[in-house]
Amino acid sequence: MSEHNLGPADQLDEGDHLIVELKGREVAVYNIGDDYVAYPNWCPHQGGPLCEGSASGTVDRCFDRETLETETMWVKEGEVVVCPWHGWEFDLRENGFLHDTDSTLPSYPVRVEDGNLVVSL
Amino acid sequence: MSRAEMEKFISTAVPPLEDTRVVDTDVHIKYNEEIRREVARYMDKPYRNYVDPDTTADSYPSHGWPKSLGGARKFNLLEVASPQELDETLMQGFGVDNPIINIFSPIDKVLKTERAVAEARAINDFMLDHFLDENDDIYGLATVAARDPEAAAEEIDRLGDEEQIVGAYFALCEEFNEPMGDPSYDVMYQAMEDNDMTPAYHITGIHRKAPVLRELETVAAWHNLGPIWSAQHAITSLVFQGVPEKFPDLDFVMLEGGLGAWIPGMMARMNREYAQWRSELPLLEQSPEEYLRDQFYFGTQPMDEFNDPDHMRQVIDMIGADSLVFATDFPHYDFDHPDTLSKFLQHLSDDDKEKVLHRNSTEVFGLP
Repeated sequence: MSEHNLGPADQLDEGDHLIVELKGREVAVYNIGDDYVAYPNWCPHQGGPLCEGSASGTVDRCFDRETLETETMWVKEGEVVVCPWHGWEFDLRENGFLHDTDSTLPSYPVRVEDGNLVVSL
Repeated sequence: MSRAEMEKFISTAVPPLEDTRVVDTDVHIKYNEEIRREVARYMDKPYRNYVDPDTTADSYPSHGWPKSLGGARKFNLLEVASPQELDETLMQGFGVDNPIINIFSPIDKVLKTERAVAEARAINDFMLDHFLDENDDIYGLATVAARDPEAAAEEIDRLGDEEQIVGAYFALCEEFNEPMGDPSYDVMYQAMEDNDMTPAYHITGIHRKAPVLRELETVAAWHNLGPIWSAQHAITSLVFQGVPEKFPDLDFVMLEGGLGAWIPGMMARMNREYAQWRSELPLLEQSPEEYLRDQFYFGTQPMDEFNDPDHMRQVIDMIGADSLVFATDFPHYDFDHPDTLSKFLQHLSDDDKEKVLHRNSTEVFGLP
């Protein structure tokens, strides 16, 4: 395992991310509010640059079987990144694609040490 | 139908399938003048007069199919209009034990919604009195006017206790109807789920809603595309609108879209679209393929015809015996004989053969 100091943690406001090259691979680090997460900048679908886009939210909908009413909601603000190639939505907090939550990515531990972001590979 | 016509139709070269129970999920009763006259008796004026051929000169809008087939052949090989004719042809001649009939009416094409609602109700009463009440082996699909979903739900509730009415019949892509997954139809699906009735979707020529089909030069070209488009239209609308998720106890039966590679093709294509556009389809909790495998059933007719018959066996394996229900489309010109399908099932286990020929349909439609 290797550890990498990416500089001050306050360079990332909530919802922001940065992409760095570590040991020959691109790694994206996101500030999702109460936590930092890091994933490869790689989509398992066709290898697209998954993390090029900003973290945003997504649409959810619920249905009431008795009243037949549906409610559409905007959820997971700042926690979903959309692959720019084919639109796969990745849940940064839950580590899973929204269309297939069993499909996950390798994640890298991130911690803040002395005010700096440190990623372990 | 004359006896001579009947005897001419049944081929002595192909014996009825007798070694297993056969349930036929797509059997059309011709809505001829004789039946219209009977149906009218269940109706009040003014719409009674619209239906009775003796009091109106109006004909129904054409269903758009090339009835004459260029003058060479008939669209209806026989005009089956009574349970006796059904028994002597499909049941005895083909070996079908349980036909699930639909009254092949054009109510989705008539202009007045009130009339369509009243006529649907009368057709159902006619079907009960003339086909079902005296014939325990015959089952029926209710006719409903989907363009008025509240009225359709009321009709489904009215028929809910009729044990031989096992589902409702929907002609696809009709002029006055919405896509089958439209939320306005939720009230119908709620009623069907509450009454243990199964929706069955039947293809049409969709020339009214897909005018590009008219540009094709031949009947063969039109028939090659129209029906399968209407089936794909319904499947896409139902799954992407989340109807199977909204009503998890419902099953969905697709009739006359055909048994072919398009079925697994739709599963794979819809999977990809869902992955790419999930935020547009937020009701879905699993992949389209899972909904299609868990809650959809596909009638086996018309069977596509590969040059290499092994390819059809591969297609059947890809779809799986759990998802197929036997159908003839009798008595239309492109029907399939049960013996023909049976030949394509020989590589399956006895258990899987029985699923296709009767066990799936008895489970889906709640037949004893």
